Amino acid sequence: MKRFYKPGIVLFLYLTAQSLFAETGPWFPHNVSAEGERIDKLVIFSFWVTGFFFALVVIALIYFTFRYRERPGSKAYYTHGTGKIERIITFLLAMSVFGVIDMNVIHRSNEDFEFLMGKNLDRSKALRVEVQARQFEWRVRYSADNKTFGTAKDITSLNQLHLPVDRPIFVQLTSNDVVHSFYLPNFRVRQDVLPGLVNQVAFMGKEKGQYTLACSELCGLGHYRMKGYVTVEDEADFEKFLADAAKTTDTDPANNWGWAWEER
Amino acid sequence: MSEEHMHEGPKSFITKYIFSLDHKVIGRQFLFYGLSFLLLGGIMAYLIRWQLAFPWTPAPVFGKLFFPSSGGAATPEIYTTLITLHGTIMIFFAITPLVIGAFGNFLIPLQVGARDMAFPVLNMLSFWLMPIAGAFLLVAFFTEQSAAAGWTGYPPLSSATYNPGAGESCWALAVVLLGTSSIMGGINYVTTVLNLRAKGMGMFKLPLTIWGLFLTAILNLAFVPVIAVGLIMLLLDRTFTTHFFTGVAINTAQAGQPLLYQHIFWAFGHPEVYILILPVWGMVSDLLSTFSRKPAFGYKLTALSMCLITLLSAVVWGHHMFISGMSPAMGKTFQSLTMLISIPSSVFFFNWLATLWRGNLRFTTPMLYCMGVIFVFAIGGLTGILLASRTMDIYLHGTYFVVAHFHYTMAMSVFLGSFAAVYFWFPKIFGRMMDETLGKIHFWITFIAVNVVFLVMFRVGLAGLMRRVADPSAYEVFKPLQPLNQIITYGVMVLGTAQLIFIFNFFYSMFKGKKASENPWEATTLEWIVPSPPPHENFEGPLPVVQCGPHEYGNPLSAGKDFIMQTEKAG
Repeated sequence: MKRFYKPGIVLFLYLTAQSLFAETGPWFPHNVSAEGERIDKLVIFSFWVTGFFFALVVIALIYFTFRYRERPGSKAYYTHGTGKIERIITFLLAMSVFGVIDMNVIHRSNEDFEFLMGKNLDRSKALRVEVQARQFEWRVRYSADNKTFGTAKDITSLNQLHLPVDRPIFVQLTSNDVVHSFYLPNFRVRQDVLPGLVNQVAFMGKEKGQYTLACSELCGLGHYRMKGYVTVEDEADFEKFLADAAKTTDTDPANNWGWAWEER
Repeated sequence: MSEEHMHEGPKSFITKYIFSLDHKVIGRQFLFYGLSFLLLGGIMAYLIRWQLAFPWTPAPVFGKLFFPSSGGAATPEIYTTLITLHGTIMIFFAITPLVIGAFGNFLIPLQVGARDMAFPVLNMLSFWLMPIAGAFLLVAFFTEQSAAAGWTGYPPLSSATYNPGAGESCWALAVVLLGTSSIMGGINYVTTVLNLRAKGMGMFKLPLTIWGLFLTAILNLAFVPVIAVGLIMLLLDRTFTTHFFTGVAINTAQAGQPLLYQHIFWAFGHPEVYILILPVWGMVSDLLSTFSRKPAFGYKLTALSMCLITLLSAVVWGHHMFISGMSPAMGKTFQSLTMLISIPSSVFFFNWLATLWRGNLRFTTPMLYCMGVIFVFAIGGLTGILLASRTMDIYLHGTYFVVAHFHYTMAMSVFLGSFAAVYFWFPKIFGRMMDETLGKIHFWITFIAVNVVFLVMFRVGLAGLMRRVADPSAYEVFKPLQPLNQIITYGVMVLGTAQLIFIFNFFYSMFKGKKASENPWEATTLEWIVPSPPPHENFEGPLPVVQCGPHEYGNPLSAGKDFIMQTEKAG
């Protein structure tokens, strides 16, 4: 045993650390949404509290392996661990795990969840957009008056979702065929898109630029290339984008898939 | 089955080795079946990883063998089939036969003190359904349009409209047949544990391995029918144009309900995780006690917390669907229910560590694997808390963070736990010892490679890369992750290569290994009072009478040795 144990542990630590901390950019993609940082903070907080208990487990494992290894004449301490004190310790430990990790994570999750659903966004200023997913593209629809969809005045674009900076956006989503998932890594936004169901996401871009829109639910052979772009820009650039998109919009009523917006 | 005297064993080759009614032979059949599919699923994992690290380039060694038409490079069709079948094979055709089929069959009658299973014919059938199910699955792989909707098979993608080939139907049929086999096994396990225990073997004198297998069998009986029903509805949709899940109109007017399938699937899918892991928890609890030469700490609490987890596993499936469009109120409830699982989990986890505390630790190969299980399960369990949060799940859902998490909890802990079990019970199954030095080398390479692969995968997931995407380099935001993806792939290659050591050790020891004594590990449970391998009908002479619990190690009243067999009186 001695032959393998120490080199094994050293090699383990070296290789995992080498690969885990390989320098390939930041751990999270750059966040550009108003509330996205809440998720990053919650993940980091959870790493600290779970990491604390994980460290205890590892310290115990390593200490016990060296301290209690069988030696000539050594003997185990005979206990079934069923006494009252043992039961109380077990109970306290289980409750402290639940209290320190789970209760905190539950509490913070519930608090942050409301914000990620758009609690802080000013609905009166919000931009409304309808998105229909289909194999393997994102169809985006803006309404002329930012309220009524499905009219001949709608403006559409393909795989291009533009939004003004610092303005809340509400996106309602449905699918034309299979289950997709509307995923904006830089915004910490993700929502499944199902046929026959309208789901909604709300967020706000606070940094100008072009970001990835990806599908994160297996939707067929072209799943990996179901890619779009989200562009956050000035109000003026956004107006220009709408004007350009209006020129290329398909006005055939048969292709008008827009549905009546349902405020929620 | 007669209580007191033994029957003659069957004589002909067919009745003895092929259509055998002997639980030990059936256990060995399951063992070979599971290990073969583990190898196949592992090769698929390598092919998937190669594609992710070096997209669209020919995969060395196995690429040409699996898809010669494209010169060994994956295509979107091949990639989607690979991910579908890797999941299905590993869960249903590798772990299920290996942990539940092989060790359940071999150990339950021996450890409870019975001559065989309660229903030997049903037992034989439960094995012989497996090759039929496996054949359907392989057909699904080789048909023109193969199964390509992921192992979850969400409709409408899995419907006839979007997956018209025979492959998807074969896949569903294969899983239904396999489920039928699991149900047959479950009936046998539950009946045997409840009715055929030897005299004196109370429920709380059972080894924890049996507790794990017993609870798994109950979950199998309760939840495998659920997935069978779901898949049969899917098959009806595919072949008889019903609209359980499909036929949804473009906007909100609807016929079928795709979300219904997700509920059915995960109502089974979450208990399935525990179906796979419970036997391993039990085995690890027993083995830690054996090699610490110390009773399992808090035996009763461990057993009861496993029962509690079994119950809780039935009410937490919604955490797989936080972002599906389910009501936020339901999300909140499922989040809290899921978090409750950490209470019983920390109880038995603490008991594992407390078993080691002040023990007399013997670092045999099975012991190393058990400690490996403690390590990987700690990582898997703790990261589960992040995913149980509906808020973090918005970002982490469907990324490699989830992939790494569930591979730690239900894949790697079962993988390492199965090795512990194989090394530990090999002498009882085949009558010879496996080589310890090779075993330890195998352990260290496997353990290090497993952690390189999946720890790095957590980081790829945190960076936002979604699973099931064939080419991560197609996205600017994920391009910087390619070096990490390549590290993972190299890890997988090392992991796979290391298994050659195991395969060599396994077959070499089977024929040339050191002959095993009755009780080579100085363990206390009933399988160790019979010769290795045990004779037909297990116990020569009358059935044993149980006098004490399964973990009487280091009892100061035992004279001359540090353990008391279950058939001896403690003190």
